[in-house]
Amino acid sequence: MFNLLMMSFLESIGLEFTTKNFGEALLCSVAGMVGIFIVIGIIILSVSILNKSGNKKEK
Amino acid sequence: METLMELGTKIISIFEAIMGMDFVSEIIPMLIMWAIGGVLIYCAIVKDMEPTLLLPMGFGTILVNLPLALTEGVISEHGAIEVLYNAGVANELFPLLLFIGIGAMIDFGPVLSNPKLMIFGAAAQFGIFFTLSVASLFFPINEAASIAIIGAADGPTSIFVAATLGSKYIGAIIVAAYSYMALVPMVQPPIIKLLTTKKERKIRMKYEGKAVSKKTRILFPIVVSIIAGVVSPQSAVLIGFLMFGNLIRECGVLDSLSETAQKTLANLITILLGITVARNMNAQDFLTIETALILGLGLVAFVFDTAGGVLFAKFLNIFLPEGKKFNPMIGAAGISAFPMSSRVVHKLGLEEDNQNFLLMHATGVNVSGQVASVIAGGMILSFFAK
Repeated sequence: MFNLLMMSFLESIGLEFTTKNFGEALLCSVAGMVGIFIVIGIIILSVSILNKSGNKKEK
Repeated sequence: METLMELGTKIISIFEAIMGMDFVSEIIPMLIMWAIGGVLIYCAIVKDMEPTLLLPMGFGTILVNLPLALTEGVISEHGAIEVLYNAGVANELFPLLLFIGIGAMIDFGPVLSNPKLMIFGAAAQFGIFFTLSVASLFFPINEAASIAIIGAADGPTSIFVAATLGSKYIGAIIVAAYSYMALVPMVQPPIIKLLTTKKERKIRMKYEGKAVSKKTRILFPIVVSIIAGVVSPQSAVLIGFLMFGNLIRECGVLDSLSETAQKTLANLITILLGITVARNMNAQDFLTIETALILGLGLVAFVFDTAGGVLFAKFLNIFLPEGKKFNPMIGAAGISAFPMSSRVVHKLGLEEDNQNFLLMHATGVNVSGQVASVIAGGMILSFFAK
């Protein structure tokens, strides 16, 4: 019902409303967020190792 | 009254005859686009809103909406702007070259001395992915992805991703990205205040200005490029050019190149990029209901980026003991709009407690946001670029 109402309202102002891509978009959104945390996590780990090795040499 | 109407109709007919254009469907949209170009120039000069890009873009908007621009003018097949567009935007060259300049400008010192701050850069990309889901309800998936990247709060990344995905809304996307970046001081504070308590905004964070070795500074851009390239190959080119610029800066033997990248290269590309992206600002592409929706979705992206960063900091605070807690406001600086966002957070901190200096923490998060937004752009491309 909500879908139909939304679709007819948006069509009246020249926009299309469709849920056919929503599943794919949601999946990619979750995968994207997880992916970013993984990449940033690896970068944090690498920087921490670089910092530790840098500090040891200085000592 | 009738005589006045007749006079008006005659004037319109004369206009139509001189310009060879229909008044309602061509001349009025052209005048509206001139006004939009004027507003962009006004915002750049008078309001100092991202002038380096909005001014060339505003002028370009007027140029591409001159009569016959499409058939015989600057955006005709061999027109100057069309040639520049094909040479630098359609093949994504200009944003990449600009990344070298940006990389040379960024000092990653604050985040290298406290690398755990980078996690907020990741959290504050939430707006991109939230907007992707929302935009998919109104646009084809590739267009939704191009619109979502407005949340990267990073002009070159938005241009690169939208151009790679062949978005026909690139003009509106860039206007939204740069406008909201300029409006960060107005967009972020209400969201931050809404999501945090006074007590949370008063949390003080110790700053231990640990020295970062030169070896770490040099290895950082190389390591990040390799990690991003291996884990998310589509982001390799974006992050690679950014980190190449940073390596030139940090290596210590290319000061002259570093200075050229920071000033001459960045300025030159910004001039060309600004006027060239205006190609998509012609009336028939821009004056649509979709443009209004894109501007709205851009705001959604910025709001949810800010909320993502702040709420993630609040979530981490649940597990941290007193004295080790983060001021959740620094999470908002992860949206990449550098350096406005870190200044906004610092200012809000001082408003609550005039001895609470959050600038260094916020700057660390802010530069992390720059890296994370580029990685997010790569992620989007890895999902949707063919």
